[in-house]
Amino acid sequence: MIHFSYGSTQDMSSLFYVYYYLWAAPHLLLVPVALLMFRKSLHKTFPIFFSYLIFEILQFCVLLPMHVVYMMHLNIFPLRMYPTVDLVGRTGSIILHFAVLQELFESPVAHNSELRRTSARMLKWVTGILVVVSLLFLGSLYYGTIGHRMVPAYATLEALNIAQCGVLVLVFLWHRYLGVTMSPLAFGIGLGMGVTACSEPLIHAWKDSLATRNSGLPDDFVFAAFHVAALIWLYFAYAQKEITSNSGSTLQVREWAADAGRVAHL
Amino acid sequence: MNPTVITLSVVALLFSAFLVSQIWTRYARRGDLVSAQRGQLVPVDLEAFENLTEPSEEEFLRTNLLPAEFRRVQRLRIRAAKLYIAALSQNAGVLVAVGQAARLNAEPEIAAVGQELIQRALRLKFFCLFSLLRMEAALVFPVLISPSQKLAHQYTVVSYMAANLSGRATA
Repeated sequence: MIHFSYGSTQDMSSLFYVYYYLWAAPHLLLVPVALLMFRKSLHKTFPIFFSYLIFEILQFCVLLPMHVVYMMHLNIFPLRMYPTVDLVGRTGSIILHFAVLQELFESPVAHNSELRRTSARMLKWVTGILVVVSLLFLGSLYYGTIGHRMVPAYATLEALNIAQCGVLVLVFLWHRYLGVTMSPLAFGIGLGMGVTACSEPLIHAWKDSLATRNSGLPDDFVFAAFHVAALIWLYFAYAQKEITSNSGSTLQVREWAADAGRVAHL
Repeated sequence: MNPTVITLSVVALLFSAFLVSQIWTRYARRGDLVSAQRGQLVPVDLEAFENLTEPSEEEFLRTNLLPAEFRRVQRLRIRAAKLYIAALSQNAGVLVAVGQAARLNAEPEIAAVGQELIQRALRLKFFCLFSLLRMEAALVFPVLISPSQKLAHQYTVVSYMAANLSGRATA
């Protein structure tokens, strides 16, 4: 999750509390998501997503106290330490996002090591191409904009987020091509990732526009998007078992299998 | 307004529309899709397909036709084979759906066959994808690249497995 510090001169206004609420609430929501996954043994099906949840929770536990100390200018640790830890956290989040998308992409063939290796290889190539295309796309956008003769440092981050959107589209289309219905949690993970991935480039650009450069509103919007994602994950982690248990009645299988049996004679 | 903001907003909007379409497909049209999928089985003449991908047939044409004529005929054969592969891929998709329904069945035997059927049908889907890519390359270089022959055998195995599942579910 990406977060930005407000200016140190900002008053303790209601916006300040909204900011902390929006930062804390989604991370706290991740705790029941992780617990539900663990209780339903879903951490074995989606180990990387489970690790991502744990990473986000731990990152929050480290960053929040550091941020408070940083804002209050207390000399507990060097002031430059917070941005460094924040950067490490962002980098870890992005790497884990791509790993989760790979996990989703491979999930239809999770039981077949050969097909899994093949699909992993395919995805790595496509991801590489998407990252390069996104970097070129954003580079040309910023370079062509009046007042931006240099590409902003966070353009790489935006490009990676756009590439994530591309990979996510691929994940959904891949399931469609294979004819595999995504499990409720896999669908939820994809949706949640989509909400965060598509909001972040937009917010970066919004922050970059002159009118809102000093506003904290875009940051709140990023947190709100993550809030929505956490709620989606919570819902689908809860819904996973109930949806699957309603499917696959013998009558249904008999009807479908009779159809499928026809394939052999067509 | 900053053009970067406008462009990124359009990208985000398009992506959001895609996500909404996925939700719509999954929930609003779920019932339609199941019945639609059952009606998607396409008849495939495997013998004709095997004939199109048979290396000896290709060799015969290569030795008896002029190079330009061979390229033209081979391209026609590849285009026909592509249509067969598209049909095989569609049928494999239906078999995946059948396997998914069977996998969730209460009877362990049917569930196990369902799981196996999914794996085989997915393998077939992979083969179809790579065969189609190979066909595209073969269309550009008809003399250098030949269509793959493995697909017909894979399809026979999977379709007879589905027929076997049909027997078990009725029993």
